[in-house]
Amino acid sequence: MSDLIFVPREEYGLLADTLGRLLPEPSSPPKDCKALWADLAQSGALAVGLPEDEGGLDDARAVSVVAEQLGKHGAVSPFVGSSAVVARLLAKLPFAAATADLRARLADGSAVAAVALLSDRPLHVTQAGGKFTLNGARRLVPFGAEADHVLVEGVSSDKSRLLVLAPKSSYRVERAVIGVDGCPYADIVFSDSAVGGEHVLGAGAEAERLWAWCGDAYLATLCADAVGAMTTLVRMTGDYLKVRRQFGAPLSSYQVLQHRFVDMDMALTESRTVAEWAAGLLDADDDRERRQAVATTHFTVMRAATKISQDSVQLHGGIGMAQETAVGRYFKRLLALPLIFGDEDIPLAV
Amino acid sequence: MATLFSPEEDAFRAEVRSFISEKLPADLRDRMLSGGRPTRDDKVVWTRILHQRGWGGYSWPKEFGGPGFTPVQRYIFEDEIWQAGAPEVVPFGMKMVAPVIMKFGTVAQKEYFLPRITSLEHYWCQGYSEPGAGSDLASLKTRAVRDGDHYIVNGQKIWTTEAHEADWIFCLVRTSTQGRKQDGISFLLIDMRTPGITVRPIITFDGSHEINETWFENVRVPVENLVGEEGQGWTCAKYLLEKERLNFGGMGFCKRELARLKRLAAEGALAERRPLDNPLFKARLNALEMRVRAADLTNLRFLRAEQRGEAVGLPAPYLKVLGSHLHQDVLELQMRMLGPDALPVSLAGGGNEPLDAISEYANVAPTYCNYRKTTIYAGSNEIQRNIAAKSLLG
Ligand SMILES: Cc1cc2nc3c(=O)[nH]c(=O)nc-3n(C[C@H](O)[C@H](O)[C@H](O)COP(=O)(O)OP(=O)(O)OC[C@H]3O[C@@H](n4cnc5c(N)ncnc54)[C@H](O)[C@@H]3O)c2cc1C
Repeated sequence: MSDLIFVPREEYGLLADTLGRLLPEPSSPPKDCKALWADLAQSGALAVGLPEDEGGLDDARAVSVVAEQLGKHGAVSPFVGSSAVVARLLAKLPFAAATADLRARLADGSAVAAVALLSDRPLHVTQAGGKFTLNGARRLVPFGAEADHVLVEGVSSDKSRLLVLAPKSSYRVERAVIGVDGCPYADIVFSDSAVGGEHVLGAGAEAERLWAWCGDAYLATLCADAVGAMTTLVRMTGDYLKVRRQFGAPLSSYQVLQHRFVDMDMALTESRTVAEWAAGLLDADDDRERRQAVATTHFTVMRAATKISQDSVQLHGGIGMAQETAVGRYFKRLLALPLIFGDEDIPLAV
Repeated sequence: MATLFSPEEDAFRAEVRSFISEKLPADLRDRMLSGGRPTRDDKVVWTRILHQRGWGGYSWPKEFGGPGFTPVQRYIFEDEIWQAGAPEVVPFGMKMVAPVIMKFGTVAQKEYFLPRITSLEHYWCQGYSEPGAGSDLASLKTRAVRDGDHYIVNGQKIWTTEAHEADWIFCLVRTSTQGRKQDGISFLLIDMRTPGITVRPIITFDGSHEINETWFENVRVPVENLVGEEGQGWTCAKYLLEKERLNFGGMGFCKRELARLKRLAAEGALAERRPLDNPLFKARLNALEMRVRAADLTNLRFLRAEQRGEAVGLPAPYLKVLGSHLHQDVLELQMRMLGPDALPVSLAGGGNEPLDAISEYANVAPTYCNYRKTTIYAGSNEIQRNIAAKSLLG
């Protein structure tokens, strides 16, 4: 594609407008997850990352336009795992034709896929004949209890990696929790779970490459979501500074608050830059280039999210602490990034 | 070699420490040391234990029934209390309204209220802020109109910490709209059981109920509950705010939470990730420890000056700003260190299980959220800096 980064395609504006109308106002309480999912499916938003002949724009940047709107409106959904990662991964594979059916269901919302991002527990895969047997666990899978498929990376007895899209029937949900960010998570367990070879999406070095792409795609899309959430916080805080009066003048007249607010907006501006850059490089052939863009985005967005969320509460004063104003909800949503992917020390340490 | 504390002070510390280790209920201590927040009952139990030892009003002079600690003894006492995992004494009574009553109250007020504060028979809350009067406190509107030997109070207070658990509230009310805003304010003590008071909960975004709206509708308050003279409320308030901010500096909380952070790092599943071997994390931890040290010692230096009867620097605003940021930063580092382990805060479809039913880590992110309040309340940090700037630059 000859598309230029920072030059939006015409479709993005339309997409953002459609979603802006569809999603509840940023300040209103979040919509029921299932109803929201059906709305998203109907609008075509779940398909945007897919090839054009599957109803999409074949474009990671369009995916991040959707994610940004979801973040901006505080919508809780399995979009990132299902549409931004698994559906697009399936479309990338050499045997994509074989999974067209599943992609169609992910695109129309009748199936949901999740990604087991944390690989800190053992998950063993053994092969006998055409069957693969899984033993082990994955924890805190976003939407793990709601999903029909979970993408996991396991390890075989010879220490090589396997990428498996495990169907719901193959694992048991051990514990379902709500995260501080408002999203559901589940711990899942595989015990002698047999899956057919068609569920294995990659093996060895290829599995590692694909898994690295999945992590980057998830992270980059979550950063786009964070850009949306930060946009809302900056907007809310700016609006509040203009209407709230103390000492006979609007808060927006106090220089120290003006500077704080400008710094928030500046951090948001930079975050948007790097998030667009990372989305543009997500499908690059050069993995290193992609990795660098995503790491820079992680670092920049993480710092901005900390600053913007903390200052938004502070500049609101007492009302910023109250659950009834939406500020705290976006503050907590922005914790997903450091708690799942780590704070800015992670990209720094590379 | 010079030392920070005298041998007598070290002996005092040992005495306090052994008292706490003997008297503090173990289950309460364990809850506090694993990040729990004390309930009303916890505070009552602990304050009564202190009271029996004559320490219920540990910051008070002897003439009002306190132990007459020196400023440095007070510091040592609090340092030990925090680090041992004892709950903080309810500040609204002992540290806020009591000093005002001591300085401006009548003999009858002193005799009635002070003993009931040390025993925590009276649990107090603070009615200053209003929807339109936060940082600009002097523009408060809650009215108190004299009617014979009563004031009739009408209006609304907001963000009232523990109003739902309190027996009494001290309020700033407007008794005059003439002249300077500050001169029309009076300081009233109001029994929370008086008809016409309604308390409505405000849930903070961490999910907890600490603060409230407190409404007054034709609430009759006996004139003898006025502290100082009518129109002297602002003087009382400023005196109290100074105490409130001073009260804030204690680094005991930070030391306790840093100790928790290190314990968590070395235990259980987290230990396998070896966070303390990560040089970036270690650098952050070291930086925090040094910041806590510098702020803690600054507090001690201010108290040494107070003990000599001298005034050094700007203790109230500096300790409030330094202390509140450190509280927040320590909790933030705890949360970041835990990473995914700090994510779950409730069970899906869940009722109201206590957080620790999920894991010991489940209170970390909510407490991080909750403590955003510390840079807002007790005079926001922006207002503290305004005060300091005015004093430094004119
Ligand atoms: C958890 C919690 C507990 C509380 N408990 C109590 C209590 O028990 N009793 C009680 O009376 N009150 C209590 N408060 C209220 C607290 O004192 C006020 O929230 C505080 O004074 C700020 O007022 P505000 O909320 O109206 O914010 P505002 O005054 O509207 O301030 C909003 C923002 O603007 C800034 N700002 C305002 N004016 C200026 C200026 N001139 N220059 C620069 N910056 C400025 C503030 O610093 C803040 O960042 C509590 C608050 C919280 C959050």
